[in-house]
Amino acid sequence: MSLPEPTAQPVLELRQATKLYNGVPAIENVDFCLQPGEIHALLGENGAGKSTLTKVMAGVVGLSSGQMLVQGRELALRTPLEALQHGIAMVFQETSLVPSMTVAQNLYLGRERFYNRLRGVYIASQQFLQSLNFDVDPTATVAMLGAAKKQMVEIARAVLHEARIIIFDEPTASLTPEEKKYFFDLVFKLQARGVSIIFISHALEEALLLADRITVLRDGRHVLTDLKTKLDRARIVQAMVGRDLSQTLYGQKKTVVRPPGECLLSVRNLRMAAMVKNNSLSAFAGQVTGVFGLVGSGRTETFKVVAGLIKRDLFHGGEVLLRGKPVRYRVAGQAVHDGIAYITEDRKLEGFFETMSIAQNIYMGLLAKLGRPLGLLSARTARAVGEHWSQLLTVRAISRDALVIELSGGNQQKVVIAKSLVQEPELIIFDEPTRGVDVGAIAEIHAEINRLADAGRAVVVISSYLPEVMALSDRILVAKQGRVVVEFAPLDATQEGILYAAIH
Amino acid sequence: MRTAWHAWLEQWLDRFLGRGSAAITVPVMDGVLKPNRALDAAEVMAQLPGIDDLASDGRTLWLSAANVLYRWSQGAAQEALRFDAEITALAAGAQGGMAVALAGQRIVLMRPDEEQVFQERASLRAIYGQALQGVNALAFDAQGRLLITDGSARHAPTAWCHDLMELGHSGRVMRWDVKSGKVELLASGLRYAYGVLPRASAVVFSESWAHRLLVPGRDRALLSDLPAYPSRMAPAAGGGFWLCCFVCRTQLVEFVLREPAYRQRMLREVDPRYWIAPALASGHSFLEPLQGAGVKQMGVLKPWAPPRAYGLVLRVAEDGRVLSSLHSQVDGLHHGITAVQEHDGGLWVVSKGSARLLRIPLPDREDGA
Repeated sequence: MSLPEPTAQPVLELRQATKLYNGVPAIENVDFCLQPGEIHALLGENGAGKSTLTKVMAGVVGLSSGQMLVQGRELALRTPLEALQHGIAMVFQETSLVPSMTVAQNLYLGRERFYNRLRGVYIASQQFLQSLNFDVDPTATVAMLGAAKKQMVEIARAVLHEARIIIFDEPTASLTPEEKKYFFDLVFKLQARGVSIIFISHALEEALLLADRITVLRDGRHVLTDLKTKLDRARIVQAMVGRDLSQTLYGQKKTVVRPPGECLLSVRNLRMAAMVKNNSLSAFAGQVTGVFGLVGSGRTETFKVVAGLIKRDLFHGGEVLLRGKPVRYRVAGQAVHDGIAYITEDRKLEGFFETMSIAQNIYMGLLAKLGRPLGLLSARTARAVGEHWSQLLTVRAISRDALVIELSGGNQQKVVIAKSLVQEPELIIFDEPTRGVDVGAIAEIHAEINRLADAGRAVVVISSYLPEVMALSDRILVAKQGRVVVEFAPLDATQEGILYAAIH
Repeated sequence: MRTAWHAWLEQWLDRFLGRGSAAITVPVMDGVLKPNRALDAAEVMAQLPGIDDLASDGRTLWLSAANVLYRWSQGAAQEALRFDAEITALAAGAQGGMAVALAGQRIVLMRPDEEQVFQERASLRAIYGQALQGVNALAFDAQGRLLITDGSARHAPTAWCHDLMELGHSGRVMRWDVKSGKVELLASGLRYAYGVLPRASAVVFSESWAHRLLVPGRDRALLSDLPAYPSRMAPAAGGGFWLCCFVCRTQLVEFVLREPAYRQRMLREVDPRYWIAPALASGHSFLEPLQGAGVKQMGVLKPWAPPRAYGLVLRVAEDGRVLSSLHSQVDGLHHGITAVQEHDGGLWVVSKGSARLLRIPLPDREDGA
């Protein structure tokens, strides 16, 4: 496969780049080039090698073989600092900012002088942020900022370090639609300043909207690079997975709706601080209840209350009824015992133990249900349970003792799902089940969700991705400002109608 | 071990924190209760001030409005009889007999003579020495006996809201065997009995303020925890029955019902039209209380705003499962549904709030879903 003819000397070029981990290639003979002032999207399933490729460019890991050229000069970057000195910065999905420090301190971290005056740092930061037209308070603690603002600080830091190449790893995953629009404007502004941009995304529409060129990787190999004008969604997906999946995933309109069974969950007039305001909804056995809403609509918080992860208001907090009986959980374990499983949207923080293996993680889920004393832990059972669920959900790993942190996003998500399903819950709440998951794994996760509903379980799917909600749900609830405002039947629902309800 | 003191403390805590039995919550209208616009889309057959009840003997559809009994004939309501008091309930027997309740205090049984003119055959004013006060629903059973609900011992049917606000619990359900003259009390002390329906093996009646349907002699409700106040019922051709819900529950009203001092003062000092209470129709006066939510946005009344008036008809299976529902949402017009009847391939519905007789065509084959 040949690359389009470069129009100028590439600012960054990789030739036959190969990176081996324990002898297993993460990327193999990959060719890549980035033109000056270009926005280049890097796409591929999880595990396709995108992250490895960008880590090589950012100096996080070195190449096993092949060449890397920056401005035509061959380099072997050994550290991110070295990459930064050559004008290459990377903005990670999970921001690398120090949460307990202020915005200004984060901006100048690593560039401190011998003597630093805090006031001076704040003034300089303010001037710099204003020059970028970023509305961020330099004195604010990073931990208090929203995802979009953190992203801005990361970008500002990259620009401050005079980066000529900025690499974004899934920059929009945690942004609201409004924040995304702001981010897109920002990317175009950076492009106008002559900065070359590489970004990784699972949202194909974003790639088609933003990028000048798109590169697709599959199984660590380069598959396709072309101008976005010559590509469409179907061709990209086909290149990513090697088969046409777009129709399987979202192409078909739901034609058969499962009838509701027993009302398993009833939430009545639930209140939780400013996030959930008098929210009422039900979930029925044998159905997938889709919950759509913009970020901040209180969907996650409502179901976290249901699962005992957070508590409703002490005074007049409303009711949660499980099979018609009021429940009030002090801890999540009680909800697990009652057959409620909540599969988190933030798997890295709340979903798994990263220092444990796949089997150990899945076994932890079982232990939560059984409540066995630690003395009765069985490594053999853990392994057997892990094997069983890994096979059932087709978790792919280099070895069966692999740590979960070493898996790709899709496989990590499958482990998190297995960890909950091993508890044999009656009510399963999936919060953003396919966020940061490749298309191949999305199809498998969707199939599992449908299987659970067919087996008579009550399934709730919280998703910000409309096609996903429409493809999966037997009922679509739309949340806005802390409450469910409307319910759609999937046969009547339109994307426009749902979005209108979520916004107006 | 759980002691009486523990139970008292728990109850006190529940009241203090507004949870458990003291939680002011209203059941969710979703799933089969998902709001739709079926009642608003219904064909308007007639506009009759004071229209209240429907009855069918299988051949003719009868309707009552104020003190007039109408027969539906040739596409219009034809006056059949005029009474000296308001008709508060209506029933038609298979043999051509009719029963009407007048002002909630008198039940009159009538039969047509050879010239098809109704003649009074019997009447009832009191049961067990207690005068009828709020007769609001009548139905003939298979044996020709008349089932009666007397909503309140204190208030006429038109003053149902007073009974709700006073937490009335003096409703009765009775069975009158006209041939023997025997009256049997099936249930009493009810929180507003409103609507009765004979079934193959039992009698089902509505206890409105308790939001449930009961069967005499059974401990467990046939249908409970409704999000609205149930009222009259009518058999459905495909099995099960139709249930009218004449007003809806809201959190604000539930709250007011738990506040005796506030409620008593409201009853004393405020015009009943402006009480914080459900109504058969709303939106006619700016003095009406809002229901404590963002009911209007950009000048548009939100369909999910808590309703002061609402239109709701439920299709209920024989075992008490709700199968489907017809709605007129808060921004709709056809509120205050007080009667429903299947007749001539359609479902006829009385919206007392809008004083309209509605008709919804029924599918040829009723599958119960």
